[in-house]
Amino acid sequence: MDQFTLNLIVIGASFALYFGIAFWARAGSTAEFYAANQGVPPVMNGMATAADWMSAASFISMAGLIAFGGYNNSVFLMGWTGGYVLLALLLAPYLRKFGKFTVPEFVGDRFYSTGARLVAVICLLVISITYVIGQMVGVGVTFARFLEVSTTTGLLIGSAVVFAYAVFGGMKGITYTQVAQYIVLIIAYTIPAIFISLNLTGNFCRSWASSGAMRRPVAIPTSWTSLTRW
Amino acid sequence: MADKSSAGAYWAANVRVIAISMAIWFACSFGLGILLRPALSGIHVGGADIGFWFAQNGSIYVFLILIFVYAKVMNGIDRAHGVEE
Repeated sequence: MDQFTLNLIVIGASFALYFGIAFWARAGSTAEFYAANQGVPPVMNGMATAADWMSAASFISMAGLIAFGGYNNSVFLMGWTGGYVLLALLLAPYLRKFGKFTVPEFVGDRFYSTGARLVAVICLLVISITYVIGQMVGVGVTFARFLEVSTTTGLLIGSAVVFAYAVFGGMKGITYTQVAQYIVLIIAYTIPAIFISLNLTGNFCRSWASSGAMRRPVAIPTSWTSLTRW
Repeated sequence: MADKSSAGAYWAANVRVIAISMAIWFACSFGLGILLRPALSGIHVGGADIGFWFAQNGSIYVFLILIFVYAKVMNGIDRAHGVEE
């Protein structure tokens, strides 16, 4: 079995999982669509939030930023993670107590002001678009590699998949697909970290490390470098 | 919520918790990680100076602890004022 077939099987299986979850969690009402009827257990919610943190942008670019920028790029680490503290302290509890679905709704009703609501919507759009651009570039690059298509085609495939499971499943579908992604991501983060540390410290079966097996350059398939198959 | 004074006391307790948390939040990330880094460059943690460690690692641990402590303290305050879910 060559690399490409393996890619297709693994990606197909994970897509099937996400669509399965979206179908199982399909929303019937507005409350269900936006807030999953408040029926998501806290640990599941935490896993989904963590998957948000470890998304394409951090998986692909954060590691590179830290590796190349070192100390200067720790602002990204502190900013991304520190933002969650702001969210947990200043917004999330009140949003929940107020019983509204979206931040603009909450801001508008809380401050009795359409102007405030408009400001919230503009902030939301700016933040979302910035975020989505980063994520979608990540999606395009990743799919282009795995499916051996051009970056644009990869992006279109990726967004079609996300669109499908977000629209069918609503918040519950998104939360549980993110739980699945969390498990995939945490494994994908941990394995290289463990092996790179073992390799750096030479603590992992000295004879193997000294034999150079782990330092041998990996043969990159030519299809990866020449990129597109179609 | 029972009456007006109880609501005021609840909000005051709430704001105090937020203020303390935000002070720690700022001190460990921007304070220790950026502002005080040159002053603390003599102290080493795990092969790097403590400012670097706080910027890359330590502040994130502090953030995690903050969120958990905040949730626990706020649940306590909610219960004390009879507004828990």
